[in-house]
Amino acid sequence: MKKAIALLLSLTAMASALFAQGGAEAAGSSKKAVDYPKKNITMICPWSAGGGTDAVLRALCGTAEKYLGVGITVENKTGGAGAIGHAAIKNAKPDGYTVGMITFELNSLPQQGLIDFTYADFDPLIRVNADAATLTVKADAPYNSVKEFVDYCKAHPGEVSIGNSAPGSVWHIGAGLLANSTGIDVKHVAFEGAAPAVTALAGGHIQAVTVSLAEVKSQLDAGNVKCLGIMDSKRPAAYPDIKTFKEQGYDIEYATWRGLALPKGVDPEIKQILVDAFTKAEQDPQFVEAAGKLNLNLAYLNPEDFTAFLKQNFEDVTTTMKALGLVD
Amino acid sequence: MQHMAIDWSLLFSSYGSVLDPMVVLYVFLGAIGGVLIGSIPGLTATMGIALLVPFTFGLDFLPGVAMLLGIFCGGMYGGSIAAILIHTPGTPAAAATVLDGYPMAQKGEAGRALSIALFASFCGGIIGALLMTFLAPPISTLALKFGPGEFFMLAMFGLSVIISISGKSLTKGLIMGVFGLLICTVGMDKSCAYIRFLKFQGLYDGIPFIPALIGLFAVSEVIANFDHKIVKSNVKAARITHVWPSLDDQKRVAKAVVMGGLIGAFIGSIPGAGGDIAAFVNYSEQKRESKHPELFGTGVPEGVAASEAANNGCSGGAMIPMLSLGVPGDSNTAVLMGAFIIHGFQPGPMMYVEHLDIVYQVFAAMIVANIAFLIVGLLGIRLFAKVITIQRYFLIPCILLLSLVGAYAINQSMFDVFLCLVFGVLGYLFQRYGFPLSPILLALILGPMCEQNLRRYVQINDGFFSMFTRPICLIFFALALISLYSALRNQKKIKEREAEAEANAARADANREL
Amino acid sequence: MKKANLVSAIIGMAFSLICFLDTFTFKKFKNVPVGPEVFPRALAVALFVCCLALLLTNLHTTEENKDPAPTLSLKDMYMRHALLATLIMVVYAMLWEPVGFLIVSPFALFALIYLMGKRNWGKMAVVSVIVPIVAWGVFRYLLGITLPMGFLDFLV
Repeated sequence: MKKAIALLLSLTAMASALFAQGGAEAAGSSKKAVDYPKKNITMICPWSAGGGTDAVLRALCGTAEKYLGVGITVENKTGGAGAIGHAAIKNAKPDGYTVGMITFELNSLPQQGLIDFTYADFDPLIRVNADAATLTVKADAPYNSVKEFVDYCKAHPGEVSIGNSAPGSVWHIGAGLLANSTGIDVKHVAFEGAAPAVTALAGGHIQAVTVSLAEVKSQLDAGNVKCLGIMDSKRPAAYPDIKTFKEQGYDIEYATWRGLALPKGVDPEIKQILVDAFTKAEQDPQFVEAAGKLNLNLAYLNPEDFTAFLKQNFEDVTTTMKALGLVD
Repeated sequence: MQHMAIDWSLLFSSYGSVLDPMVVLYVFLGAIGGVLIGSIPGLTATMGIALLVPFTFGLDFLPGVAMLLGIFCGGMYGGSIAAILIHTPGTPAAAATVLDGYPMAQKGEAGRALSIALFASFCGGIIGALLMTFLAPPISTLALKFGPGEFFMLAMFGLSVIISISGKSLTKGLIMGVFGLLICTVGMDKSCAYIRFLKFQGLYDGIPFIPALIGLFAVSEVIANFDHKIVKSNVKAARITHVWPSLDDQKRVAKAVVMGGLIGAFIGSIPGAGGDIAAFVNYSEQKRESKHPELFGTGVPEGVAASEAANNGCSGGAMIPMLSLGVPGDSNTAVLMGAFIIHGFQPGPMMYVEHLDIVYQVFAAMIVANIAFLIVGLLGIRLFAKVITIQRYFLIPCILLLSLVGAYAINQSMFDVFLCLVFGVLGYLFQRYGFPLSPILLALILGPMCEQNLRRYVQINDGFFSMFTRPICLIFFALALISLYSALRNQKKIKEREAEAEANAARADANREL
Repeated sequence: MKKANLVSAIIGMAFSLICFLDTFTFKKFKNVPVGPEVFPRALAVALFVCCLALLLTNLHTTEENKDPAPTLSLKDMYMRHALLATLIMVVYAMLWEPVGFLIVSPFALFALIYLMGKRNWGKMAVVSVIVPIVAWGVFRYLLGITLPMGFLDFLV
C-alpha cells in the first residue's frame, strides 16, 4: 500500500514538473511577432464593484473590447484604501494581459506608509478622468459664496465640520488644502466613503463637504445642498452657475484622477497596442455618453503627459499632506 | 421631499411591465441562483450580486435588476438552508437561524424547520416589499435624520441583544462579545488612518468578515466532526410530509413573522444596518416577549421564524434609502446600486422625480422576486433536506473545501483562507469550552459602527452627553436598556426553570429507585 | 467544567493585558478628541473584568459534574484525528498557490475522507476528484473567479 502511494506521489510530482516546463516554454516562445492580444485581458480595479471607479472602468472596458478584439475581465481587488489593488497591478506578470486602473490614492498612500511603492513603479498608459473638488454646503446655510463660508469659519473657529471619505483620502487632503490656503480652523470628520459624508451633510449633521461634483449631484439636483465653488480651471459644463475658486479670488485647484497603467517591463509594442485601443475607447461616443451619465469629467492624457502629471501631482500632494500634518 | 401620494395608475402599469415573460424568466433565474448561492457557506448574496452586476450590463435594465433582486431575496432565504442543515449560516443574515434551526434538524425536524424558514422568509419579504412601496418617502426622510449619534445608539441597542443570545452562561457570552469588539479594532483605524495591533496587509480593513464567519461556524464544525466517533445516522432522515408549515405552526410563528417583517424593514431602512442585525434583534425580541424564553435555543419554530422573517423584511427595507437617498441600506443594496449606475440611473432623491416609472418597476420586481424564491423553495425543500442524508464522511470534507474556496473567493486572497482556518480553530476551541459563537458575530458586525460613530459624534459636537438631547438617540438608548433589563430577567427565569426541571428529574429518579 | 473555566478565564485575562499594554505603543494624534487607543483600551479592560468574573464565579462553585469538560489530551485517538485534520487543512491551504487548487484538492479530500473512517476506495477517489473540478468550474465560469492554479497556470 505504502509503495503504491509513493509511486503515485512521485508520478504526480513528475507530471506537475512537466506541466510547469511546458507552460514556461509556451510563454517564452511568443517573443517573435507581437501576436497580441491572444486571449482575454484582466483589468484590476482597486475599488469595489458598484462604486464610481468600478463603474467607469467597466464602461471603458466594455467599449475597449471592440478595439482589442478580446474580452476584458474586471477583477476587483479591494482593501487597504486601495493599497491591495495597486500592489496587485504593480506585481502582476508583465505580459500585457494584466492591466489596472490607478487612482489618486497611488499618490497619497506612500507618504502615509501604507504602500512601499509609488507611481514610478508603474508603466502609465493614459489618464481617463479628473474630477475637481467642490465646496458643498446645505441648501439653507447662511453662506452663499466661498468668501462668506471662509468668513463664517473665521468667526467660528474650530466649530465647522467638513466631511471626507477617509483620513488621508483625496477629499480630506482637498479640505486640508482649502483650510490651509484660506487660513480657517475647521474639523475634518472621516466617514466610510464620500456618499455617507454627503448624506450626513444633507441631514445637517456636518456643515460642508469637499467632494467632487459627481458625488453631490443627486442631492444638488434635489435642492438639498448647494455648491459654493469648484476647484477647477473652468466652470462645470452641466452647472454653469457654479463659480470656480479662482473667480472668487482663491487660487486653488484640486482634483482626483483615474488612469490606466501596466506593471513595469511590458513589451513597448504591446503597450502601444493597449494605448491605441484605450485612447479610441475613451473617445468612442458610447463611452462618452456613459461617462456623461456618471458625471465624469473626461481628461485624457497620453502616456508621456500622464507620467509627467503623476510626478507633479505626487509632489503637490506630498506638500499639502505635510502642511496638513498627515505626514511628518 | 418627495411626493407622498402614490401614483396608482403608474403602479399598476409597472406591474404590467414586470410581468413580461422575459423579466419573469430572469427573476426566476436570479431566485434559483440566489437560493443556491445563499445556501453555500462562503458564497453570500452580496457576492452573487456583485459578480453578476457586470453581467447585467448587457441586459436591459428591468430584466437585469429583476435578476439581481431575485438573487437578493433568494439569497436571504437560502442562507437558512445551510444554517439549519449544517450549522453554518449560508449568509451572515442567517446567523441567528442557526440558534434554533440546527437544534431542530438534530431532533429530526429539519423539514419542519426548512418549511418554517421558507414561510417566514416569504411573509417577511412581502411585508418589507410592501413597506418599501408605500412608505418609502416618509421612511427615507427619517433615515436622513440618522447621524453619528443615532448610529452609535443603534449599535449599542444591537449589542444589548448579545445578552439574549448568550445561551447558558451570561458571563461567557459577554466575554465573547467583548472579545469580538476588541478584535474589531485590529487593522486600520478609519478615523485616523493608523494601523492598530497587527500590521498585516490583509487586515488593513479590519478582520474580513466573511472568512471569519466561515471559519467560526463552518470550519469549527468540520474539526469538531473529527474528535469523536461518528455514530451512524443519529439524525433521522427527515420525513417531509408537507413543504408548507402546518396551520398550527403558522399560528405559532405568526407574531414572530409579522414583527420580523416590520423590524427587518425598519432596520434595513437605516443605512448600513442589514439583515444580520435585524435577525438578531427580532430573535431577541421574540425571546424576550415569549412565555417560554428558556426554550429558545433548543429548537423552537419561533426562533427560526423570527430570524428569517427579519432578514427578508430587511431586503425591502434596505431598498428604501438606496432608491430615495442613494445611500445603501445594507451591503447587498450597496452593490445593487452599481447596477443602477451602469444603466445610467443615479439612485437618489432625483430618482423619484425623474424616473418614477423605474422606481415603481423596482417595487413590482421586488414582490415578484419574493414569489419567485417561494416557488423555488417549495420545489426544492425535499431536495435540500436530502443533503443531510449524504454520508458524513463525504459531506464534511466537501464542506471544508467549499468553505475555503468561499473564503478565498471574496478578495481572491490566500490571507483570507488562512484567517478562516485560524478562526476555525478558535471557534472549535470556544465551542468545546462552552463559549457561544453568536456574540462574536454580532460584535464583528456592530463593533466598527459603534466605535466610528461615537468618535465622529464627539469630534463634531465636542462632547458626548449632548447625544441624550437627541430624540432618536434617546429612543434607541431606552430600547437598549429595556432589552438589557428583560434579557437579564429572562436569564433569571431560565435558570429558575432549569433548576425546577432538575429538581423534578431528581425526584423522578428517586421515585424510580423506590 | 470548573477547571476549564478557570484556565479560560486566566488565558482571557492574559490576552486582555497584552492588548492593553500594546495600546501604549500607539501613535498619539493631536486634535483628535477620541484617539485610536481609547476603544481598544476600554475593551481590553472590559474583557479583563469579564474574565475575572468568570474566574471568581468558578472559584467558589461546587458543581463539578454538571458539564464535564472536554479533555483535549492527545491520548484520545479522536483528538489526535482532529489535530491531524487541522494540520491537513493548513498544509492543504499552503499548497494552493505553489501547486494549485485542482491538484492538491483531490489529495486533501481523500485524506480527510479516509480520516473520517471511510474505506470505500472507489467512491472516495471519484468524490475527491469530481468535487474540486465541479467547484473550480462553477467559480471559474459562472462567477469569474479563478482559484490558484499553481502548475496549471496556462489553463487560465
